[in-house]
Order: sequence, then structure tokens, then C-alpha cells
Amino acid sequence: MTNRQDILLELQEISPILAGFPVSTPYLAPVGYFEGLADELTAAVVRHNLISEASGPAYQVPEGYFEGFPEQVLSQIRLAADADAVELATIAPVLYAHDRTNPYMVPDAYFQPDKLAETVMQQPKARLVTMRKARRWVQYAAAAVLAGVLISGAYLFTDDSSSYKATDNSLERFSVSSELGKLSDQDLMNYLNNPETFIAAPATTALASDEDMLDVKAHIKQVSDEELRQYVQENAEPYDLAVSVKE
Amino acid sequence: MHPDDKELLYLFHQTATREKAFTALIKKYQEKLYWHLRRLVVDHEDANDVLQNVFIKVWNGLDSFREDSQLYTWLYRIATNEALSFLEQKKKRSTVSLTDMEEGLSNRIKSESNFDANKLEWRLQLAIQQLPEKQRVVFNLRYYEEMPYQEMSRILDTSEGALKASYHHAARKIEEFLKNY
Repeated sequence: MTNRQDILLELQEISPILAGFPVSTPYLAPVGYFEGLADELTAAVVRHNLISEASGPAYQVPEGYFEGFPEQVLSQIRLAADADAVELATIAPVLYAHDRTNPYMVPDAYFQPDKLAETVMQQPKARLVTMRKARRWVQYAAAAVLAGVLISGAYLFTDDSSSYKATDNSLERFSVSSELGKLSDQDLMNYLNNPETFIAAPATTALASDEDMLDVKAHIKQVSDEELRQYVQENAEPYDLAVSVKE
Repeated sequence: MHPDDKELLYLFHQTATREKAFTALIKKYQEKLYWHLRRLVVDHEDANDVLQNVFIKVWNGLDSFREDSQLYTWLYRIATNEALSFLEQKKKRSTVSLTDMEEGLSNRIKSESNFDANKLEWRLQLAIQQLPEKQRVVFNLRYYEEMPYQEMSRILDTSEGALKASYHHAARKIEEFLKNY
């Protein structure tokens, strides 16, 4: 223990008022408290210890269970390994008898930690390529392609005449209004009266031009009525009038 | 005359003399530990309860006690930790605030049978109760137990410099309190 005088000197430097105070503790312990305390405390501690032991785990293990436990586990592991060996000897005796030495080799001192660290340190550092630049380039390219598609599409769809000319010559030759103009009024009337069975003979058709019709009329005048009647009777097909004309 | 610590430990390790050695150990340190605890927890019943817990821990831990440190340092360490744990638990159990708890300790001092507000030693006790718990421990160990900082450092796991500073602050606060009381 430090000398009381030293402590008082230290205290005088910090707090002169405190240094002048009495050091005694004013508390009182009950009379005779310390007389039987040691025996009481020992009894209490031993009792507490007994209670703790009594309230310990209820389960018990056989005596010496943990002493031979590691050997017991190891023998089980060995038995399992032997069983594997027996299995292999049964399935493939040649493979079981085969030498299990690893034929592969590694460079000298390959597994030394320093060597491995040295190899890793000597690796050239990879060039850092920022993703931002590449992404921007791709964005510009995609925008250019999209703009091209839009402009080309707009040009093609707004210029009708050129597109027709370029794609289909048959359409160029065909005009509905001009073809309608070539039809006779009688054909139009026939169509309107009976649209289901009517097939108009185009004015320009090669089958029945005006000159051909004049020749046919001249020929028919030369044929007698009797011959015509006989022809009709032999070849008449009531629902094929339009077709016969066409033929 | 109390037996030497080494002799006590030797006797404790023998099954036949275990309880006898333990009783001797209690007799040797009971008063020192009691007053240390009493100054921290104030109430006699509380000090008695804590003292019992201390010796239960000593009984359970004495087999594994390393003799490279002094037995009394180890005992003070257990006693201090038990007292601080006791006060902490009391705070948790109590529904009142920390300030009320400190006032509670002061009120308990005032309720002591021999309390006299005019006596300096009682004023000093009231002043000590105003300190934070760690500073209270440091001040008590230094002022009443006359313990060197080196020993205190082992008990409280704190550097000697920090302990000196703590003692310095504690003494200043106590002086302020006494001036204004």
C-alpha cells in the first residue's frame, strides 16, 4: 500500500480542503457482524455450491464414456473405409490392385506460399477500360441507325407514285376508270340486273372483237334454221350461256 | 495473525482442508471487502448480499486463480465488479430516473442511524455519492484503501494515467460540492 503521507501530499495539490478532512468512514456495521461472518459465509457458499450441483443436468453418461470416445469414433471411421475398399475389390479387382500414386507433377516449390505470392505479384496488371466510353459509342451508333430507319421509312411511305412504279408494273397498266369506260351500256345493265351469273366480255378481248362478230353473223346467215335448231339441241347447256359465248 | 496467501491457497487445493482454508481466507479479507462494498452501495444489507456473492465467486474461481497476481488484487476486482453490477441491476429494476437514484443513495446516507450533517466525514460521503460510479471507485480505492495506481490499474483494467486523471477530477468535484454545501 502507498504511504498515507504520499496520498495526502497528492491530495493537497489537488484539493487542500479535502486533504484536511478525516479519512475515517462514518458507516457502522451491526455489532458483532464480523464475528461469525466467516463461518456463516463458508456455510452459505458450500450450501450454494451443493444446491448448484443438485440442480445440475439430470442426464448422466456412463463412467469413462468420454475417455475412450475419440478412439471409438476413429475405429468407426476405419471400419467405414475398409467397407469402401471391400466394395471396390468386389466390383473391380484390377482397379483395386492398381497403384494409386499420382502420376502428375508440379513445378518445384509450387506450393510454397512465398512462391505463389510472388507469381501473383508478377502478373501484369490488366488495362482498365472504362465502361462509360464504350457505352457512349454504342449509344451513338444505335441512335444513328434508328434515325436512318425513320428517315428512310418516312420517305418511302410519303412518295406513293414512285413506289408503285418501282414495285409493280401490272398496276401501272391497269386503270379502273379507263376499263369501265370501255364497257358498253348493255353490259353494265346486264351486270346490274343479274350480277351473279354475268361475266362481262371485255371490249378489247381477243375472243370476240367486232370484226369477228361480223364474220360470225355472216356465217350464221348462211346456215339454215333447221341446221341451227339441230345444233342447239345437240349442244345446248342451259346454265353455260356466258361460257359458250366466251368460247 | 492471518495466514499467508500462498499457504491459504495450498490448503484450499487440498480436499481435506478446503473449507477450513476458505474460512481463513474470508476472515482475512472480510472487513476490507465489506467496507469497500459498503462505501459503494451504502446500505448494510446490500453490502452483505454483495459480499456473499463475492465469496461464492471466489469459491468457484479459486481453483483456476493464477498465482502470478496477488490474491487481494483479484478479490478487489471481483468485489468491485459485483458492486457495480449490483448498482446497475438496481438502476434497471428501479422505475425512477438516474438523478432520483443518486438522490436515493444520498437519502440512504441521511437515514443512517448515526448520520450528522455537521460532521465532515458525512458531508464527504454525500459528496462522494455525487460522483459517477467509476470515479467513486477510484476515489474510494485511493483515498480510503490507500491503493497504489499500479494495483488499481490491475483491478479496474485502466491505465495509470487515466486513473490519476479520474482521481484528480473526483477530488475537484468533491471540493466544489463541499464548498457549496
